[in-house]
Amino acid sequence: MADAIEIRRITKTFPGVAALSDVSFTVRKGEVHAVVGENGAGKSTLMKILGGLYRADRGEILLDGRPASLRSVHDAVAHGISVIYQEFNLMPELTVAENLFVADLPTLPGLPILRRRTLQSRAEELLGRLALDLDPRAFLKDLSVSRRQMVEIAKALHHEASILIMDEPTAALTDAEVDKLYEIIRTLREQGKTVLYISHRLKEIFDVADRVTVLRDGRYVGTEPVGALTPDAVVRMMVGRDVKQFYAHGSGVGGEEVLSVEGLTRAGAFQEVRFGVRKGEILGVAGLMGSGREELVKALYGLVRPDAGTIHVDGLPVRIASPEDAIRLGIGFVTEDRKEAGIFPLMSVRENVTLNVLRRIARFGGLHVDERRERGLLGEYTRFLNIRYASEAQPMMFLSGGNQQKIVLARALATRCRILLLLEPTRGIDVGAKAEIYQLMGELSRQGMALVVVSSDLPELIAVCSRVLVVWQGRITGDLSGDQIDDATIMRCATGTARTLAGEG
Amino acid sequence: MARSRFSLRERGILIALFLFWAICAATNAMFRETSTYLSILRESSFVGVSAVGMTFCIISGDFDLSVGSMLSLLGIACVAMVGHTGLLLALVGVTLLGAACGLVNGALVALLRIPAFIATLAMYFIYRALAYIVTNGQPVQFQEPWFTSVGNGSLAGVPTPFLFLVVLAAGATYVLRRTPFGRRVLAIGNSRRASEISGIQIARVRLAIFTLVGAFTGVAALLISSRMWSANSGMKIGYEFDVIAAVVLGGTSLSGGKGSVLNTLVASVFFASLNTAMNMFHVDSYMQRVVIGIVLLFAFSLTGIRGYVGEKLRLRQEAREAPKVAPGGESVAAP
Amino acid sequence: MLGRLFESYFIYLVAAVTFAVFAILTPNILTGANIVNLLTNAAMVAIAAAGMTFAITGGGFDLSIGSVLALTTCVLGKLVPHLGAWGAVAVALLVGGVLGAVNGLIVTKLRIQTFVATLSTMIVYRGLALIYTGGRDATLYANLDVKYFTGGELLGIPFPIALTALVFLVAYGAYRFTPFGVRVRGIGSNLAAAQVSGIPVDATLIAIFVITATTTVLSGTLLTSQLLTGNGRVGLGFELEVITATILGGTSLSGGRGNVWGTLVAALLLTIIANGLNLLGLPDQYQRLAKGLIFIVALALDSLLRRLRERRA
Repeated sequence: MADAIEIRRITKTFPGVAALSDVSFTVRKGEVHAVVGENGAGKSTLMKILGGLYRADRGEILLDGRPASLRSVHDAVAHGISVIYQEFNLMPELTVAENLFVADLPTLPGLPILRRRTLQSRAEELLGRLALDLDPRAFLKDLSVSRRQMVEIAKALHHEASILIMDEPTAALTDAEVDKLYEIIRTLREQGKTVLYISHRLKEIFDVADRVTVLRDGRYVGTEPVGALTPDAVVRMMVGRDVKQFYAHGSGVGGEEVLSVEGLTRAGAFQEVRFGVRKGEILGVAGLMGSGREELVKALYGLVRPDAGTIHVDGLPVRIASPEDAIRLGIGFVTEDRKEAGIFPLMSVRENVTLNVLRRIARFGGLHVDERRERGLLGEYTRFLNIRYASEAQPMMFLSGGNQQKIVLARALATRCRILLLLEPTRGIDVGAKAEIYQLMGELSRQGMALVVVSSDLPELIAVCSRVLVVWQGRITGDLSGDQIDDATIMRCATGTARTLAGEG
Repeated sequence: MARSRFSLRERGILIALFLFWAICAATNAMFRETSTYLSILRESSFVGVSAVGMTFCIISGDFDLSVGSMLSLLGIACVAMVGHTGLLLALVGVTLLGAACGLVNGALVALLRIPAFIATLAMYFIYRALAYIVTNGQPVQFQEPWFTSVGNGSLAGVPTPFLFLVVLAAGATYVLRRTPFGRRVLAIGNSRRASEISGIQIARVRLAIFTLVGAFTGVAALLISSRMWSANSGMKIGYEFDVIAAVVLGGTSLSGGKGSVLNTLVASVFFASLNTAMNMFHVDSYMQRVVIGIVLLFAFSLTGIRGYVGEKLRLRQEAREAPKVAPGGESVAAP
Repeated sequence: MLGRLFESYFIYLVAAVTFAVFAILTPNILTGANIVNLLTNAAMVAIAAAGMTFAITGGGFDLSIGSVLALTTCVLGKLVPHLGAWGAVAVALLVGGVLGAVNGLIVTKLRIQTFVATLSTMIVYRGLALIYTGGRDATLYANLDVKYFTGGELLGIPFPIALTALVFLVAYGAYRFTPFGVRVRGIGSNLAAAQVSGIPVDATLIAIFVITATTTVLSGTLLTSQLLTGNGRVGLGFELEVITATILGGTSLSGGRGNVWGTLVAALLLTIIANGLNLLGLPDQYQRLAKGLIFIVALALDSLLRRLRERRA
């Protein structure tokens, strides 16, 4: 039986960058094949070549044993390849059914009149093939991210795709939604489809993939069955060096309490929340999507207004009505939505870093921005965080995800905050940068900063945090420290099946 | 330092201008006289002054469709004032009045959260109606030379209005690039949400921007009414489109996030050059409109105004500017 | 749910209230003659707004319609004496179609934003209108055929009203019941996604501009019938009135969501206000002022209500 895809000596160069050099490997029919590699390793480029968006400079692609010409998205689709990108190609103001069949809407014979009932039944049939529980009449904009993704996958099936390529499919999903995705992937495999899966999350690779291919710096490193590897081995292949101490622990508790919250309530988000954070502590906040964990942390930064409750900073009661208040109190914030809410894409790297502290570094009473001081600040953080960019004037949007995140971090740190709130700090970032960020978090906590980290990545929380709060339906169901912090306990608290608070359990 | 101040793509309008001047000079004797160029500089200021303020507005992601109507109202106020208050106080007065109008616009957009397009559209009608009502449809005039010389005269050989434009543009460039306020304007145009997280008071900045637009329009009103020796409620209909076109032609994208006051100035000069050229070539006045429209289209498609961007185009752009990461993972940051 | 209902029907509420207010202030508004007059004026804005609804739903604007309006009156003014009313209208529709297609080609082939592209063609088309008539009026005193469009009847209904009804029925049908409608909404919703999803984006955009131009030609026909002249200077500000009617009627500025009937009601509302103010004896400019103020109050209310709704959510 021929292989589903054979990639032979593919090379692709952009001006100044060799994105792919002489890459060759095969993907077998009906397998779930993961492709991993750091940012810049070339996985995205390869996927875009398979998807018909780019043309390789050299080499060829064989599909089902025959050379295939993939000059356009149309060609790729005709060959049965469907790519599911991180930014879904869906139209929010259309219904699910309309999105699925927008390229060939059923009409009356000869007349351009829509047959909505046919559309509905076709949609139901398609969704049924994947056992998806979606209302075809629902507007896409009303659906959650995970449901939109399901529509995207169903759309791929509609085009009779035999090869589905998924680029970071779990980036915005909760654990429960990820499980649902795994189910869908397994269903696809049962139906004989081939799935190419790009992800930074090693846990997922080990959960769902059959084989994994590693790329590094545009070159092929190796392909192994997942069973024959350990996560460390994969990381070593990706990074080309031993990454010791992938996770780093905080300095542990010890300092005095810098932030405490009592009776914090907001209708529909969280109720009667009570906890404290100490100097030097890395406090994790876990919970399923919709549990209220993000709103809770945002309330500490003035992005969400609580209806009741008190917040104390350094023992003194404070009112945090806006980010401005929070910054003044020494609280910093790093958002989870880097693209929309984290970076200023058209502004330069330098401008991005200094934005929060302009008045402090400006001269003449905060009126004249001194570029030399700006550059100094940028240099400081570039060294501290090991940020890579072509030049300080480079527009932010051209940096890789990991470096962008570091700049966002630098901007928050520049305010000399003593408490740092982070939402999903390592989402969509390659392994190398992740490790650096963990090291950094450890370093910051050793310097006395208190960190509050909201993350969906359980291994991350478990390894990095000295204490973990678990939120379920707006309430704290778990306050775990030390040995208590493990997968099972966290999940039990997150689903409301257990309550483990400090001093109990 | 790998910082290129003068990238060709960003100064496209400047090149277009010089090319245009070269072509005109080669084909028409008038374009080899200094007086022609001085006249062009003068004409460019009337739109240019307001366009400088509008640049801030468009960078921040808004725009103001009412500046033409504001202009008529402010021009009338200026002419009415100047006889009693003298030139300097009239300048101050019309600028403040303009700021007040801008403040009203800003309040509608930033405080009441009415979309800028609609709010300023409504004010487009309202300001002009006010102008008509206040003057009963009659023009107001003031012909004292000390007033009319502002719009019509020159200082040290340079047309006075152009001096205003240069000074204001220089000040505006400084504010945009070297003050916290300017950074905030850019930030808001880049990403509202990120600006909020950075502690920027978005409503306040937008309010300030609209006020600025009004103030600059006030100055333009003084220059224009001085030039015309009069003001009336029907003056400069369509002005707002000229102003916005100058900003956009200068390369500032309507979606905001980046822009250049200098480019706006150059674009204003370009428009003035175009108008002058057509007059000199005795192009029929109606044909002139057609020509301007076509030139605009040509220029827009060249200066990188890409509203309708296909996936391929965006991706090609991304790939072209991919960050350079040295193998081995060493930092390639500038020293 | 309640919120969305309110949002779609808000405009009807405002229209009803405004009409009631004016009915009280000026009983004249209720006379048959005045109502016909009102509806004729409303028809002009409404018909062009029906086309604009597709443009804004598709994510763009057509700022050139004021110039197309002027050009229509000029074409009719000059050609009716030679081709008769219907012949001239046919030519005008053809010309409009071509101009619309040009707009569409500029946006799709030259890759220029609709705002800026139609801003430029607005200038060009008006120039063409002025060149065609040499800046003078093209009067049609002698020709009564043309009067049919505002004076005549179709199946017993005054022609303007019949035409409006026809146009809106077709528009609504197209919006809701054809693949074209779905495609327009898709493009306005997410252009990049539409392109990758196999929608013929270029063709659809060109079609949209042809629609805005041809509906404007129909409006122009009514206007010519009313003025009995062709003039290159009419329609200044028309595009803004039409866009306002469309947005006031509930079509979302961000694209993807149109409200065809809302547009009709909004156009009516705007005309009621103008008409009511006229009957109150208010001089022209005070009317403009009042119109503007009423817009603002309505929009401010709408915005406040929206924010209250958001806060409650």
